[in-house]
Amino acid sequence: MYCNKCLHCVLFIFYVNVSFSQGNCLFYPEDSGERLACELSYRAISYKQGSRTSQVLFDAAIKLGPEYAYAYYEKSVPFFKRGLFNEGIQLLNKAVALEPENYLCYRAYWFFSQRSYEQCANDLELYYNTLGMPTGSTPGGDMEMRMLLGMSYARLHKLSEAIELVSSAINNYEEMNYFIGPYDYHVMGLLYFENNEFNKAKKAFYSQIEMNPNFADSYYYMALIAKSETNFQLASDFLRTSLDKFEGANGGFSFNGFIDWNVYRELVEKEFMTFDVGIDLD
Amino acid sequence: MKIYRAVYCFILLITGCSRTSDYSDSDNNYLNDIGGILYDHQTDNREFQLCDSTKVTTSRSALTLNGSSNNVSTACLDVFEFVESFESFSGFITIRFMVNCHNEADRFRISTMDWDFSLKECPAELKNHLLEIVKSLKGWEHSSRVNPNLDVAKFINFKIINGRLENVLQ
Repeated sequence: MYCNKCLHCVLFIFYVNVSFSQGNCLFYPEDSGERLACELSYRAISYKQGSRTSQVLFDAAIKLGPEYAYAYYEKSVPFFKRGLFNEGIQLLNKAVALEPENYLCYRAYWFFSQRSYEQCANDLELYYNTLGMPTGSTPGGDMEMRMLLGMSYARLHKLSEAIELVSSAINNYEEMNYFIGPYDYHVMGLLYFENNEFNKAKKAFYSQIEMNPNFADSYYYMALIAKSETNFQLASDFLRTSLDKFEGANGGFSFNGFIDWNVYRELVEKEFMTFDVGIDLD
Repeated sequence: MKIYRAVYCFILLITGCSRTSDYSDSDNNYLNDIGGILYDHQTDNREFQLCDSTKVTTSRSALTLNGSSNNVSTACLDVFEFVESFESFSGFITIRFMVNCHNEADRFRISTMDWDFSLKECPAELKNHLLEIVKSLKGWEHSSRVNPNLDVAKFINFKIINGRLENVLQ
């Protein structure tokens, strides 16, 4: 069982690496612009992202091989990370125009991270529906892109579509030769929670906790559900557990890739204070 | 193709031999890091000094405001006041600025964008209001995750719907 999980992790990391990696420069004809651009880009990524040297090399790569999409993509990354969104998107749009199947997910990821949900949904609908791509993942490999599409639908007042999409993804991963992601059940729970389907939300959060009992965020949402059911002691217990996980107890952790649904320690503490159960937060 | 190869070799030579600023004349347009902000005598405080402009960090977790990075959002939302002239704008307003190793902030730069990050005009009153809010934030501190001697390039992205502040993103 343990080996199985390890194997899944290794295969998943391999998949993400392949999806977001540069590829083999030998695929391009010797002395072609693309070959030279590819070799220069390999050199560029050995320097710090956004540094002068890496930018000089990417610009040279783009000049020599203007059809080589990876150079535009990789050059755009530090612009987004530094709040230079317009500069970043101009580069990334070129990569998407050249190879939509490889770069639409990354553009959708940035739209999602800045809560531009309609743009995120447009890109992912193009990716899945028009291009017919089977799967895609966030740059860190934390979530299959249908999770982001589902959360975007939820913010665009299309909750039923969101729930249908995410539950169908979870049920069909095996058929698609994909794996259940580390936060998929949690996203499923969030959508049911948003739709006030608390029993289904509980089931999804329990599945998440069963898969990874150290994830703080699911306990917080379980507490909100228990509170709505006026089970205050249980709600307080969940909040206590969530806080322990935020503290890092026994490998506890949180994850902030859900944007509108992110949970912060301060949020859990604030909720905890409403119970007035006299437990010392320190 | 020979020209391509010659250019390629030249680039490898200059990047292989140099470490910081001595690449070629055409490199003078490049910053040490694209996140850095150069002094502009028309808008910036002459007294504001970076401690070491060659070692600026762009880490998004480099700064806290009065002890928590979440305080930035609350502080901005609390003082934002909608007025009618803002209403025509929906999209993003990003403000970038520098915080030096003494936790002083300056060199504020603003850009206004549509939902797809393309540039978009915005009422001057709204831009000025957000600039004043960010300039008035007090209590920047280096987080425990970064070297306190480093200067920081920081950005805050404001999501605006019909002139109203919806979210503060960092």
